[in-house]
Amino acid sequence: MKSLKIVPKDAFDSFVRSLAEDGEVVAPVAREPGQYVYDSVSDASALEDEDYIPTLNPPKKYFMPAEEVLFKFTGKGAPTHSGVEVETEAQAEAEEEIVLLGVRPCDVAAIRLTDQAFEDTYEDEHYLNRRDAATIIAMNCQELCDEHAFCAAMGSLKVEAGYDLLLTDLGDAWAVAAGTEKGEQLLQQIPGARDADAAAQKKLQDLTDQQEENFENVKDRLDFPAEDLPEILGEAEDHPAWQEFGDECMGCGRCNLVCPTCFCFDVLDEVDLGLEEGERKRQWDGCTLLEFAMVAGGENFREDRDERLRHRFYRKAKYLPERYDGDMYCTGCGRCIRTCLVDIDPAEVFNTVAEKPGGEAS
Amino acid sequence: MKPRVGIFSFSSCEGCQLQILNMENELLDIVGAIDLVTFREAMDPVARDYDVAFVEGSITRESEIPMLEEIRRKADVLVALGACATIGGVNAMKNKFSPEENLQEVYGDAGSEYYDTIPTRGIDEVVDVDYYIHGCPIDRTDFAQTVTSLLLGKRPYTPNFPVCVECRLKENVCVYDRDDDEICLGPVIRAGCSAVCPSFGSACIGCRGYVDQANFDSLIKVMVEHGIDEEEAKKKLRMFNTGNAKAQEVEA
Repeated sequence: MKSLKIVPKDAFDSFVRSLAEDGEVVAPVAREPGQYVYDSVSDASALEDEDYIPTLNPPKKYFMPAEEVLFKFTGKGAPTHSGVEVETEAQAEAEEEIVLLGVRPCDVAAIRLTDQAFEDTYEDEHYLNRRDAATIIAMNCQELCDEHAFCAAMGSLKVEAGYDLLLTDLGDAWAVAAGTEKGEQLLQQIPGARDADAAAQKKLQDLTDQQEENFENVKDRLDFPAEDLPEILGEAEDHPAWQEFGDECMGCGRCNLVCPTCFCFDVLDEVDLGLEEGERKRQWDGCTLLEFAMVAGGENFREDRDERLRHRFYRKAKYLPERYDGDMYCTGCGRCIRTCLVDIDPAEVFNTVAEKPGGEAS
Repeated sequence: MKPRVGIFSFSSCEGCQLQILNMENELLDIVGAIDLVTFREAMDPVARDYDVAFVEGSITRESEIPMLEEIRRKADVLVALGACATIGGVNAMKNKFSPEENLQEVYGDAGSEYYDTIPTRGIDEVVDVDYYIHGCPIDRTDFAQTVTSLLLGKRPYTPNFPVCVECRLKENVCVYDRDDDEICLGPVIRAGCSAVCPSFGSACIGCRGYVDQANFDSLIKVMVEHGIDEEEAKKKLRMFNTGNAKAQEVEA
């Protein structure tokens, strides 16, 4: 049984202040009006920002930085045609503890999805070490953040797992639910935490009902249940709408880069001028970019923008769900829509290709 | 044996050579790794032979053509250095006018007697170019990495994705989401500059040239939505790129 406590807001604020004194706490803060980023905070005030919309980059930047050094190497002797003999030096394994505060359910869902991908087959220690060092204090959304989000349609409005603690705003107090053993322990440390009495339980239930109502029409952003997407896409490969979306798309990669569930990266070596030392780095990559599927010799498996755009949507709603028990790799957070300069909206794309093309009218 | 390297200059401000000279922390490593035999802005001797040529500047006069051809003949590897050399750069703005008009405007009546001028071209429209270091001016790290790649016998890495990618990596607020009226060419311009202009409150003006498969139609629509007319939008796209072989697509 997971614990649930009620914590007065001033007590919770003190708790966050003490966390921030001991280590790094990050939360969504407005860099400019309407432009949020996860950044260091010293108290819980970020949780009270009523204008919050999802951050420019998702919290994955703390587990998989936009650019990171995988290892350093030292060359021994002059390079030959068969290469350079190298000694590698693994990067530090222990990561700094970090608390992510105010992570909304869409991003909690996304973190679980990237965890799943990085744990699969090859365990990516760079990601997983940082993940282990992170504490996720999530926060429920009572109202829709903006017109672009369609979380409720993708099933990520409510999360059952993926957080250590989950906050629900009761006005003058937070309802704090533990989701993991780490969360249980943390909950014990919050001063002023009391058990949820009947009145608090009732209030939580009312909020849940109210939330249900507030998000009811968001579900309509998709014309069909999200779980039908793999099958729908399976029949939509030759849909003429892909060409139309591809004509608009600039192939700029922004949708990939801001996506909380995109995890592809490119790997590059940088060598110093003395040719003795170097670094192997990785940085975020995106399947809508021209050279993503280009291989040695110059062959490109997805040469056209429409093919790349289609591939992105197939990854999100067909290929990965088929690999991972039906888990949709789109959370409906709306980041790609906000960043897209030509207004390509996945919900609209899915609805369009779900319709049979042609018909009498065309 | 260290490769013999020459740095040459055609029509340009020579600012890209200056970027190399400005690499104070790396200069000793550079001259340790390569044998610099010609470097117009930094030394007097001019070598007859070299393995690698870095060529700055665009071709704007007939007399430059045989000189460039000779460099191509001698060098095993020819690298275009900076926007003038890679895409013609700002010099190519004159291509919107006839050579006669340009001469008259700049030198008055006497000019045509003393100067020849031809439409500006990037050097790859005159000779084959092996590699490109983009930008106005070039990025110093880019130069260093090109040198090390050549020393290692690797193809130098040149990003072919747009500046938008680097703005997202740095989590910049998009120029189009800021409350100034800047117009940004980032979605169609080659990255590799760490999105330096948008990162410091300015906007991308296109010095690294277009990415392959640039979607000009869509970007022009975006620019028009942000308050400039189509002609102005095309003018912005031409600023560095009138001489770019892909510039016709902007006009289409």
